[in-house]
Amino acid sequence: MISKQFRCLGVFVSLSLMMTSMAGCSNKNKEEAVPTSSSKPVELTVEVFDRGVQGNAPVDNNYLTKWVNEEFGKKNNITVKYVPVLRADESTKIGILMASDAAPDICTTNVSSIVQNFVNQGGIAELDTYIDKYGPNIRSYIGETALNYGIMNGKQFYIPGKRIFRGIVSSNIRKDWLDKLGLPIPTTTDELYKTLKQFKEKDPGKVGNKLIPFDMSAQNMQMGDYSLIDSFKEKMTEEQLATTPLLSQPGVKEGYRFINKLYNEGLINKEFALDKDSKKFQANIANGYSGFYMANVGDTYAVSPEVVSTLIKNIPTAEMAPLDPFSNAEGKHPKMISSPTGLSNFIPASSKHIVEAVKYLNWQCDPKVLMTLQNGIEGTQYELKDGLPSPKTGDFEKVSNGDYCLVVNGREMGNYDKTLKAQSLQFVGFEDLYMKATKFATTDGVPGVYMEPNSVAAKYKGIQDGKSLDIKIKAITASPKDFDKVYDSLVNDYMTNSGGNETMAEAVKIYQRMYGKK
Amino acid sequence: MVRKYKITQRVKNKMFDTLMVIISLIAIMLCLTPFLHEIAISLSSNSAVLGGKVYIVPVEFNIMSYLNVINDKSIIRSFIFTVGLTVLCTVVHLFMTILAAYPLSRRNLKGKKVIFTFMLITMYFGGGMIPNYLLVKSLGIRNTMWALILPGMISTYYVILFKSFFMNSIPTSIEEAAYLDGCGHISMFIKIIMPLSMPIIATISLFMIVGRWNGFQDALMYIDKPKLYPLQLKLYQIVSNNMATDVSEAPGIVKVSSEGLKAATVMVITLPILLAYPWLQKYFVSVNIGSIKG
Amino acid sequence: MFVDRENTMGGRLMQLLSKRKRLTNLKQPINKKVKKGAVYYLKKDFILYLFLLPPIIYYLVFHYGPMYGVVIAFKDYNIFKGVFASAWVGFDVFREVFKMPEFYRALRNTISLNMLGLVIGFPAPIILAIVINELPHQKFKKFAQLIVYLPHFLSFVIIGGMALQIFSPTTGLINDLIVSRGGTAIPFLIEKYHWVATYIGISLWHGTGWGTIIYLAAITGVNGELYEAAEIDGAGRIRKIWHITLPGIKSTVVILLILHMGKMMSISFDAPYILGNSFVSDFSDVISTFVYRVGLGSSRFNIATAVGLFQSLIGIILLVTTNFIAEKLGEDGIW
Repeated sequence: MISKQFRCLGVFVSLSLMMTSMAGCSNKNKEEAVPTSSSKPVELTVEVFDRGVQGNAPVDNNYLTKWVNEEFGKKNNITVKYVPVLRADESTKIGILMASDAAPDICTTNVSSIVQNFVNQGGIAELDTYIDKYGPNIRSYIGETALNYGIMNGKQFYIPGKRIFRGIVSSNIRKDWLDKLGLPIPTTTDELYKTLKQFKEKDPGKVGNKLIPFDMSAQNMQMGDYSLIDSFKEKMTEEQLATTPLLSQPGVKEGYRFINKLYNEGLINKEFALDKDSKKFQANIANGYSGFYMANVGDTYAVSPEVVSTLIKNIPTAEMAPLDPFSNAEGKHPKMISSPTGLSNFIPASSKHIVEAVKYLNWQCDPKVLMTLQNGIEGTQYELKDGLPSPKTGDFEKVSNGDYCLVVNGREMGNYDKTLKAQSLQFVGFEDLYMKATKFATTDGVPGVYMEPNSVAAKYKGIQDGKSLDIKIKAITASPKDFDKVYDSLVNDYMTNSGGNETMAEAVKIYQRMYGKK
Repeated sequence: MVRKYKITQRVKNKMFDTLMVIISLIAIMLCLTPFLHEIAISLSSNSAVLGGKVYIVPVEFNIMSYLNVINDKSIIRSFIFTVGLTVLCTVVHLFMTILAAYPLSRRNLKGKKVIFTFMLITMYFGGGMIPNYLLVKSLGIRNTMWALILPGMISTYYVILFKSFFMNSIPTSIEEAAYLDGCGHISMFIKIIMPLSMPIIATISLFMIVGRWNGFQDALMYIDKPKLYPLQLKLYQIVSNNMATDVSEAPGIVKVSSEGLKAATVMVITLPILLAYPWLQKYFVSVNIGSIKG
Repeated sequence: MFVDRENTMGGRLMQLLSKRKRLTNLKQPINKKVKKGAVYYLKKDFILYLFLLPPIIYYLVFHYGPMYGVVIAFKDYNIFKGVFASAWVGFDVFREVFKMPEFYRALRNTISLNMLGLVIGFPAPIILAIVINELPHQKFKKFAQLIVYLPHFLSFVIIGGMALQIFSPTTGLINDLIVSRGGTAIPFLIEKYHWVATYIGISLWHGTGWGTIIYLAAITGVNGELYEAAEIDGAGRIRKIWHITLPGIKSTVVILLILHMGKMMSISFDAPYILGNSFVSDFSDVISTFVYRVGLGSSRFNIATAVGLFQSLIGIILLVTTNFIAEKLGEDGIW
C-alpha cells in the first residue's frame, strides 16, 4: 500500500518537475521583441561596482547617473540604467547573471580571465563590426595596443579600457629613521638589507619590541612578486617567461630564499601570514612601527584608509619616502608592470542593445566627457587649479568616479605629465610622494608577455591561486635549513598534482602558436 | 537529626549555587567582552582604532561614527526596510510552516509519511544557485521583497519541530474531549491546538526573526537595487570590501570604510534584534492552565 | 500558587518528544481489515489536505522546480547553453573530483572538525542550559540567558578580526601576557593542532549560548512535582539533575541529535574560511572552502554541484540511519 502511494507521489512529482523545468527552459529562450526604431527610449543596462563605501550616494542613482542620462541618454534616445554588482562578489554574481540571461548590456571586470571563460563558452558578442560603425573614438582613444588585448581567436570580444599608469608596486621607507642613522636611501638590494639590519639593531624610532623593519601582510605579499622577486630572476627566454609558473622560473627560488632569510633574522613581522586583509599592516605603519614596506602605488598615501596621514598625526617628525631598492646583478631594478589595459568591458551575445552599448563606450572616449565622469561637476566636486581638477571637501554627493569611467584607468588630462599631476591631486598632502612613487614603479618596467587565454589555467585557477599562496608562505616561514626541502617538494606537488605541468604544456602550445617556435 | 540533615543540605545547596553562578559568570564574561570591544571601537576616534589601542573602553571618546551612520540615509532606509521585511516574512513563514506541520501531526492522516518524506528530501537535495535564480527571474520577483520571502518560506527543520510539538506535547485527553464534543478539524486547530502552542510559536518566531534579520545570502543573489538591500547586506558590503584586492584598479579609489564606522554599523544592526528575545519571553508562559484537568 | 509546570513555555514546547504512551491508544481502535478507498480518506480529512495544499505547492515550485539543477553535476556545464543543452559527461566530474588529493583532505577535515564539534559542542548547550536553569535568582537567570547568546549575532568576519587580536602569536592579547611573564607564545592560529583547538573553541563560544534556548525551554517543561518528590527522598541538586532533568529532556536531545547527525557532511563556510590561513590549511581546508576555491573560483559550477550531491547523499543516509537507531532504542524518531 505504501509503495503504491510512493509511486503515485513519484509520478506526480516528476511530472511537475518536468513541467516547471520546461517553463524555466522556455523562459530562457523567449526573445523579447524590442522595437528598433521607435519613439520609446531604448534601455541600456550598465554594470557598476558597488563598493559599499559609507557616505557615498546610491550607486545607481546619483548626480553622475543623472548627468550621463542628460548628456548621453537624452541625445541618443537611450535610458542608461546602472546595475550595481557588489565588488566583493563580482565574479560569482556575473556568472549567475550570465547563466540566467540576466546580465547587463555592458559588463565589466578587472579580472580578464572571467571574460575569457565566458568567451570560451560562447556567450560574448563579437564587436569588430560594431566598433567600426559606431565606435570610431574607441579605436582612436584607446588605441590598438590596448584594444588588442581584447582579441581572442582573431575577433574582438571585449574592449579593454586604457591604462595610463602601469606601475604596480612602490616601496616606501621611513626617511626620518634613515636620517637619524645617517644612512642614505638604499638603491640596491644589498644596501636595503644592511639598512633593515640597522633598523633592527639601532631602533631609531625607539619603538621597542614592536619594531618591524620590513612590514608585510598575507594580502600584499604578492607585491614582492612584482619587484623583489623580479630582481632575482635570471635571464630566460621570452617563451620561458610566458609559460613557466612563477615559482618554477629560474632565480625565483633564490628570491624566496632571500625573503626567508629576512624572516628568520626577524626583519619581517612574524605574523604577516595571518593578516589577510592588511588591517594589521596598515596599523603598524600608522603607529610608526614599520620601517619599510611595499604596497600598491599610492595606496598608503590615499585619503582613505588614511595610513601615512595618521602616522604623521601620531608622530609629527615622521617622514615616509618612496624608493627603488631591489636591484639585480646588472644593477637594474626590474619590476613587473601591468598590461596597458584597465577594465575589461564586454557585452553578452544575447544583448539586444549592442549598438547602444558601443555608442555609450564611444561617447566616453572624449576628454571633455571624461573630465566630468572622473571628477564630478566643476564647482561642486572639484575646482580647477592651474587647469587641473582639485577635489573639494564638503557636503555634496560623492561617488566612486572610477567605477563609471570604463574606457580609461587614470585621470586623463591629455598628456602623461598633466595626467600624473592631476592624479596626484587625489592624494591630498602627498602629491609629490605619489608622483615619485609612480615614477619608480615604472622604472625598468617589465611588461608581461601578451598571451591568449589558457583554458587549462582557467580550469585550475582556484586551486593554483590557493596553492601558490600556501607555498610562498610556507617557504618564507620555514627554517633556513628546511627551505630547500619545503620549497622543492611543494613546488613539485604543485606541478604534478595541481595542474602545474598541464597548464605549462598548454601555455607552450599557445605561445608557439602565437609567436612561432623559437 | 533531621535538622542537622537539613542544614548540611542547605550548605550543599549554597555551594552548588555558587558553582553555578561562577560558571555562568565565566560564560557571561566570555560572551560580553567581545561585544564591549566592538562598542568601544564604535565610540573611539579613528586614529586610536587604527593604532590598535582600543580594548574594552573607548579611547578618545566620540560619537562621530554613530552620527555618520545615522546621517547615512541609505542605512536608515535599509533599517526601515529590513524591519518591515522581517515582520512580514516571519508572519508569512509562520503561517505556512504551521499549515504544513499541523496535518502531519494528525496520527490518522493517510499518506502523511509520504508527504513528510517529500518535504524531507528538499532538506538535502536542491537545484543550486543558477536554477534557483532562473526560477526567481521567471516569477518576476527579482528586486522585490518577495524574492526574500517566498523562496525560503517553509523550512523543513521547523516543520519537524512544530510537528513533534503538536503530536506529543498537547495531551490527547484534550483532543479526545474535543472530538467527543463534535469538534471538526478547523475548530480543533483554532480553539485548542493554537492557544496551547504559543510557546513553540514564540520560539520558532524568534528563530525566524533572527534568521531573516541576519540573513543576506539571498539578497546578494536576487537584489540589485541598493534601496532594497537588507541591513546585513549593507554591513557585509562595508566589512568585506577590505578583502577584495585588485592590483589593477585605478589609483586613489576610495576603497574602505573606517573601523569605527564598521563597528557602529554592527551595533546599529545588532542591538534591535537583541530586544526581540525579551519581548518574546513573555509569550513563553502559556495562556491557559485549566484545560488539562477537564 | 502552584505553578503548573506543564503549561510553561517549555512545558509545551518541549515535551517535544516525551513518550506519552497514551498516544498509542488512539491508533486504529478497531482493526477492521476493510480497505477504504482514497476518496473516503480525502473526504474525512479534507480540511487537513486543504491545509497541506499551499505548502505542497510551495515545495513543488521552489524546491522541486529547480531540482533539475542536480543534473549539472553530470554535465560539462556551459552557462550559455544552459543546463539541458550542455554536454552530458556522466560521472566524469565525480571522477575528476575524486582524483584530487585536495578533495580527500577537505573531506577528512570536514568529518574531523564535525566529529569534534559533535562530541564537544553538542553537550555544551545542554550543560550550559542546566547551569543557567539552576541559577538561584530570577533576574540573574534572565540576564545570563540574554548575554549568553550575544556571540551568535556577530558574523565571522568580525569574529576573525577579534580572533587575531586575541590569539596572534606575538601581538595577541593572550600571548602578550604570556611572553611578558617569561613564557613562550602559544601558536593558537599558526600551528595545525592548536588551530583545531582554537577553532573548536571559537565555534563553541559562538554557538553554545544560542543552543541553550531550546534546551532551556525543554527543561522548564519537566514536571515540577517530580523535583519535589525527589527533594523529599533526600536527593541533592546533582542527583535531581541526573535523574529528573536529564531524562525529562531526553526526547528533545534525541531529535536534535538525529538532525545534527544528518548535517555531518556539511560545514559552514564562514568560520573555516575566515579563521583559516596558509599555515594551517592542511587542517582548515574543508569541503565548503574547497568548493568555493575549486568550484566557484574557477566558475566550475559542475564541480560545486557534484560535491554538493555527494554531501547530500551521505547526509540523508546518516539521518535515516541515526533515526533508525534511535527508534530501535525506543525513542521517537522524526517521522
